[in-house]
Amino acid sequence: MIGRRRRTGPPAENCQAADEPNAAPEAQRRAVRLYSVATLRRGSLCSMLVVLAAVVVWLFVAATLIAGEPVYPLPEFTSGYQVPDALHPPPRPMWRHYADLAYLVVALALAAYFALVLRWRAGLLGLAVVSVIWLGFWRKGCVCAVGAIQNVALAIGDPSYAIPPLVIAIFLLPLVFTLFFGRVFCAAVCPLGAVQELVAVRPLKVPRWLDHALGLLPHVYLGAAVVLAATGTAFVICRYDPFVNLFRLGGSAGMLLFGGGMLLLGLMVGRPYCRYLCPYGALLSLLSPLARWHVRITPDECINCRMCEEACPYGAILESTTTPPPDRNWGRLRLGLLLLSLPVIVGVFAFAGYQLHWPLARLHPSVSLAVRMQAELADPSIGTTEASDSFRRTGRPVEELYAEAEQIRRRFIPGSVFFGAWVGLVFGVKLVSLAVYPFRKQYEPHKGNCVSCGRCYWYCPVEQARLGLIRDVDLDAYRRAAQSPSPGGDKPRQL
Amino acid sequence: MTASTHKLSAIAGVSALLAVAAITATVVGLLLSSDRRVADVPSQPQPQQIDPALQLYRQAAELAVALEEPRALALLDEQRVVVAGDQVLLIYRRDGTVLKRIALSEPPQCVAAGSSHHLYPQRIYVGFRNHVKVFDTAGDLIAVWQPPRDNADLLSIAVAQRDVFVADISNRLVWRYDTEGRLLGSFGTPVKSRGYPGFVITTRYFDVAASNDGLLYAVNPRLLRIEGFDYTNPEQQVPVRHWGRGSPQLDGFFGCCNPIHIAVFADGRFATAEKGFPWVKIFSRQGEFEGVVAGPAELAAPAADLTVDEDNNVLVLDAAAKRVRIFAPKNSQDVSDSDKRQ
Amino acid sequence: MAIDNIPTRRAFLGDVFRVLGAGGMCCAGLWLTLRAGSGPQGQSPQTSAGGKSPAAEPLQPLPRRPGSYVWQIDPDRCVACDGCQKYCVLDVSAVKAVQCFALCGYCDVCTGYFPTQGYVLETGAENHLCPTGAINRRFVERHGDERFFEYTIDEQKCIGCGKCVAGCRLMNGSLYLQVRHDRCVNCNECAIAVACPAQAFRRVPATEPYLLGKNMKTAIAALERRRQAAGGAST
Repeated sequence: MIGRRRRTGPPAENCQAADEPNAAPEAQRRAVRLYSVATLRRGSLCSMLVVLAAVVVWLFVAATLIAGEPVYPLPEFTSGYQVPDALHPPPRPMWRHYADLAYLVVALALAAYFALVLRWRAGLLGLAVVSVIWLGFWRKGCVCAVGAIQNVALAIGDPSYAIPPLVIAIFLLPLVFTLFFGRVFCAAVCPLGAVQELVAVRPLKVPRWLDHALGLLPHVYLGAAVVLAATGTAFVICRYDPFVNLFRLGGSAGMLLFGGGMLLLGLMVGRPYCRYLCPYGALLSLLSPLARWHVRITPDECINCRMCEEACPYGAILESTTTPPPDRNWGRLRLGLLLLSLPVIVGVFAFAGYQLHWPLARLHPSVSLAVRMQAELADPSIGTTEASDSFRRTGRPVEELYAEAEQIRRRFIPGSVFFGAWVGLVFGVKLVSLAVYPFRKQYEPHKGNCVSCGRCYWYCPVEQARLGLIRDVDLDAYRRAAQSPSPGGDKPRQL
Repeated sequence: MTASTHKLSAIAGVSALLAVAAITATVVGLLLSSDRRVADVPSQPQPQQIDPALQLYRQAAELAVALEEPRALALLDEQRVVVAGDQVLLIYRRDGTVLKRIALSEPPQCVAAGSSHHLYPQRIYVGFRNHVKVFDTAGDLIAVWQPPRDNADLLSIAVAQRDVFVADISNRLVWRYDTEGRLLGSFGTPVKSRGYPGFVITTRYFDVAASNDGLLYAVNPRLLRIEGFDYTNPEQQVPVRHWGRGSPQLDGFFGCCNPIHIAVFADGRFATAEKGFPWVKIFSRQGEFEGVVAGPAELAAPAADLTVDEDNNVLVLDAAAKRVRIFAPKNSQDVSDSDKRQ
Repeated sequence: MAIDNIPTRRAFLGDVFRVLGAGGMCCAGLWLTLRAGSGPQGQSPQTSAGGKSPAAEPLQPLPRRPGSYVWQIDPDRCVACDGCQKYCVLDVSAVKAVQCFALCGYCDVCTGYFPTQGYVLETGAENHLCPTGAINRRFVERHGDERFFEYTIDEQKCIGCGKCVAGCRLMNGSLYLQVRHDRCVNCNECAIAVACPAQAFRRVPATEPYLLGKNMKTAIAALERRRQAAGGAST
């Protein structure tokens, strides 16, 4: 670039007046000033025109005397047309994110207060309505705590993913609250839970065995979602979120149908998504038994009146033990065998998970594209997909894609082994927990499954006595009825 | 109760396994089916269909170019091809062996070589952003020509017997030099009195080619035509002839601004390369459409450069495939050497 | 006495455990935040930046920001299929075509405005490439026989099908698709990103929520230099 500083113009006979290239900008500026002086002195129209011409020349030279960058020639507009800039609407302002976070904190605190201190179901319902409106219909967008699992998993699995602290806060807040107050998040804060809470008008009881079996699903779903998110494959929780499309009043027909069906089902089966699918619920149900304070059915002592037995639509009330314990030796043996077989179960499932790593890896878009490209190159007659067409258009070498796919496949090996082991552990622990004979002196909520909805309070005579709705005499009647053996396991008489 | 708990755990276990399997299968199935979208309905614009009778050429050979970003192409003689790109000048024999590798200090933008009619045959003229360097075939730098203007952006070079023409997209002019690098003049200044608007360029393509008939041809892309300037007559400011018209059909130039590259055969016919749909076409001396060399079926992207040889072969620089593709007339005998590609 | 103490001690230990647990979770979260964006770029649409492409510029690690991230289309990777129109969760897609005026040729024969086959230079609706007539063609000026037109997108009408983008690509490529953030609800997993055949979607910081193609950047830089020169001349 020796020549850049030197300005060697073309021979004079080829120069046009309109684009005099020889003159440096300084010289041009001086010329303009001289002409201006001349204009003042003479004031003739002619010299005005000369000045204008000089300015135009100077403009042109100044505009074009910039070397070094490639030129994308715009038309040389002469009518004074100004080239506009593209306008871009800004995204959601930051304060709205902070407002959501603030709402989350306030709502969690309120839910805990209503559920544990005031024992006020109406308040929880009201809060649920507000949450559905705020976090559901108004906010529309993401991220919610349920989906944040995947962001966190991805951040752990892929250090290049810049997870916003806001997402971590949204993920952690309900966990911390659960550690102290039980699943108050599910009660009235989570919009997915709240909307199901609002439609659970006449829920039926799900048979115990089915409830236990389906209750394993959220844990499996959690494991799969974490592995798929951590490998950067997909955010399945968001993809198959049943209600977000209802909140947005849009989306694919399939997902809308799924959401609508889930709500319809929710009329008869209490909270189907929370109980049998929600992976965040699975996470919370692990933490909830450790809670410092937890929802109690009775505000005081349980009189074993069994009034609450039918109260819970979510199958989360554990009866007090009425039957005598079974044969202790057999029970111990069974428990011991199950505990011994637990590592075996985990190992078998982990192996199965390892076997699954390739089908799972094929869910990754790059891997499936690589597989497709390989198939297409081997047999061109199978045609192309949009993805392979796009890939061909980039001109990227296919070997690079294969190498990337292989790298992703390797990442899936620990992921799918973890997934298998996790499923095995969940399964094994379930078997162990079923084998343990429960000693319970009173009716109490299942600490993992109870979502703190507050329905059971109302059914408890002790609660009614606390509220002053029934007299102590009536409470005593309940107490006596509970203690007298009821023939044939009949329900105690209603008041 | 013992028995019932027992039964319970068994039922729960079995049903749990079944449910897990069913749900996993469903999710995997859903996920797998989601990316099985076959490109059935083309969403991209589709090119014209071509009558096979108009396909005048077939690919006779190709040579792989070891460059990340090949930019330009020139013929040194019957056997040697010069390809410029990245920051290097490669001289290939037609069979693909690299004869010479000349390192350059900055990315080249265009290249041309003196033919046997040129005053200095086999000289290589390399155009950079705003200056021209002259090399001999040994790779020695003979001269550095001063930039016509500092803001110049040189996109094409053409070599005639005693003149060298450089297309400058920034100033929308074609500069004329003599072989020693003296600037003799320029073409393309608008001449209002004769209604000549100059080069109207709104895209980053500008190409020139010298013809044996003493005319310099330059594309005027926005006017969708090719203009011939009589460089032997310095008084002549406007093109002495022009041809070409815009048309969505094959016989014209497509879209807003085409062609992007031209080359002139020894007999005065033209080869043109277009962008949009990457047609390479043949036009007669008078500018009538004769047929097609290659099209979207052969080229994935517009030709990066185009040149023709004495045997009427058309050489296309396919930057996407990083290849020089040599197309030979279908009726010619010289199709033997690379039928093995089939 | 001892019996009385047991629940208290257990409760105390439980509290210690819970506080430690909560603190541990917060520390883990902090660690994740601080580590964020430090590693090499991932390859999937879920990660902050998409995979490599030889055409695209090398991707920089995203800076750590307290703010959020939004989805955007990389114009250099976009293939202008109609996925953005089909797969957005909104009824009318949040993706719209955008005009980069600095790169536009102001063409008379605009391949983004007229169909590519058998075009007639009449602005009647039957001659439009755009299915909703969302492109406005406005005469700017005339140089000899050559007319220049400005093309603007009417975002109220645009459905983000990308037909004009694919058409414009044939020539200058100044039209491109972008997620419009006044409409986007910023799903955690963008439905279009999942379906995008070119993996052109990626997360970008909300502070810089729009992307430009390589040519657009160059053209805008050139236009800026022109404006600066003109501005300097007028003062």
